[in-house]
Amino acid sequence: MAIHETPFFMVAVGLLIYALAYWGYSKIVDKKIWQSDPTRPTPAHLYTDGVEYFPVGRYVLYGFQFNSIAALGPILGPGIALLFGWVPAFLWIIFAALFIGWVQDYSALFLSVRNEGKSFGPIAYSLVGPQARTLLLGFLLFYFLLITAAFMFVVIVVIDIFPGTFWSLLVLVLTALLVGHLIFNVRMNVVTVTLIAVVLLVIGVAIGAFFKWPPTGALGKAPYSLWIIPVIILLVAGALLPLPRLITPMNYIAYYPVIVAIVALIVGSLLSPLTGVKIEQPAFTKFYDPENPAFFRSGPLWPALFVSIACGAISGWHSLISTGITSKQLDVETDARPVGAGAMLTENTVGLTALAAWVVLSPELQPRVNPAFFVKGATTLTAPVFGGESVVPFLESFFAIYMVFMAMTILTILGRYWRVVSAELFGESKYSAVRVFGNKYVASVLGFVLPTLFVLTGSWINIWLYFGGTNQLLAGFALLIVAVYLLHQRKSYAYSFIPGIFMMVTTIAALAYQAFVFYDATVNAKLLHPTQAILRDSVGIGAVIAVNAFSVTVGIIMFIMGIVMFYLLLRAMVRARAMPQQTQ
Amino acid sequence: MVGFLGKIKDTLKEITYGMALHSQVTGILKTRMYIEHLFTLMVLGDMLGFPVLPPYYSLRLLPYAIPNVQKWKHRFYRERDFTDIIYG
Repeated sequence: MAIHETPFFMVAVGLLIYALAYWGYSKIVDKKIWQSDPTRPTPAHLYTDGVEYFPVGRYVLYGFQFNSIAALGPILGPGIALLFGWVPAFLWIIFAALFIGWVQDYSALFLSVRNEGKSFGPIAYSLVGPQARTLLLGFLLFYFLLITAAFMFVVIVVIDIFPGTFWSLLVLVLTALLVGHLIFNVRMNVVTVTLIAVVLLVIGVAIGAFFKWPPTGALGKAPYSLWIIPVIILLVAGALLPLPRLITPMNYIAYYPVIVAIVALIVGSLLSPLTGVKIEQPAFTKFYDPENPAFFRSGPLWPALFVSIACGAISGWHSLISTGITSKQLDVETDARPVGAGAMLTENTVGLTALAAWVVLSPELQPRVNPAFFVKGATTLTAPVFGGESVVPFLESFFAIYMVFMAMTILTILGRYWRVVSAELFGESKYSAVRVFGNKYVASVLGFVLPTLFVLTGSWINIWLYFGGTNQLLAGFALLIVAVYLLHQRKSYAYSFIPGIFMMVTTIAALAYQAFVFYDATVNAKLLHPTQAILRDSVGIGAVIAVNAFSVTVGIIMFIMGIVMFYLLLRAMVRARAMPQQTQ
Repeated sequence: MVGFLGKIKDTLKEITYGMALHSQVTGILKTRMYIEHLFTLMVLGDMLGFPVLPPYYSLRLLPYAIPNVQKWKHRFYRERDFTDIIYG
């Protein structure tokens, strides 16, 4: 077996390119453009308050930044991109890793450091104008809605294929409750509590591997609509309970299986020439084929490929993290590169190893059809390293848990966010009918009802591409804001401006295409996906049309927001060019 | 060699702390900060004789900042001696 037929080849080439990005390109940008200065005081020193602003070592901050940006994006995105073959997906990941991904994370971090550690909203306000901040808020609300939908979809389809995962998830929730109690009430030592939690999680994996009840298919044709009920109950509990009770300990203990999974995938990929696992998916397929429903729903290679790989290539979410906390705790300016660029390139590595797990799937398992197939791919890639056939049930259970944990930790936080925002918006209204929406129980449930409308479309590709489109649009926004700032400073801004323009144009096109797909399904009363037959048979075609029309509306709103943002940023560029140089 | 291995150990320790605990610590610090903001808003005005917040509203808000006023009073007035230092 030739070495280029194994995932080792792509991972090894990718790591070489990443090394070039880190020790070559990012170093040049750091020295020549931002001119990082270790003696220049950072906001962490200038505004030390011991709460938000305080200096933190580079390794701690690197770990924090990576953990905050690592989610399901780099894991699932490559699976959708495989519609066009693994070579285009691979090329986009390494191209984005070299020229776009770290550029956004690192530059947004530096931008905030040079602007008193301000967060994204205030920076947008000062560099682009008040409309930009308002748009950003509205945009984020839709963005959270779409992330919730995408991640809920992942949780329920993984549980549907691997039913034991639900019981493992229950073990996680109970463990989190116990850990919260032991740390915050009993004040037990964190190391001891961690050991107890890890043992319980291993038991959870074993339960998931053997207690496969109810079997797949036992719930009839409506697994999505049925599994969604217990999942929403768990999520609502997360939104209602105090943070230290469930969410804080759950995020903490979920970290351990996640890091083990990432290391296992890297090891599995690098040892693939020895284990004999090889690439099974096609290298290329087509650019576009409107006659093929899968291609019609995703759209042509451009723009679909460039929004599907989300965080594995570039992600707007990261700029919120970079400017939110990291910039307020950066010890010295020279740490910005290892923290901002280093964490992103590690995330790119996760994306690359996830691609390796997808490409070893046999061609009849089409990755775009079901995100849960990732579990099969990851198991195929790693099983020969960890003991062969005998460990397959454990590995399947483990990787299924890994996906569900990653999704659930984000979902509980988003659910809480909805509850708090709803209480703020509706809780004080003078109309009792409106006040109901501010009620904590009603708000917590509603926070998951709107995303459920997306889930009921049943079309994984469309949900993901909507999410990817908004995510990458935010990235384009961040890149162009950096360019506006650099232009104000009369510094070279092309390295951020060109990727920013590319991402804006690509994402706006992707959102327009997705809105068109939903529009086509709405006006022609078509089923967008076979799963919608469940909704049609149980409620009627009117429900299918309503669900699709809701998606069209969201798509059009996102498209208009994208266009307005793009206009505001270009206007800010023109104004910055006309203004005299600002110095700092 | 020991110094090099020690450095690697410290680095891994810091990365693990950063990944697993730093966000939780930051979150807890922030929660404390908000409670302190509320508490300062309530008591500072009276302390300085500057009407930041009228005492009526301070007293109305106090149970939100310190939900267990009774327990706090109990703790505050509890007699303490050296055995408390030993046994916490």
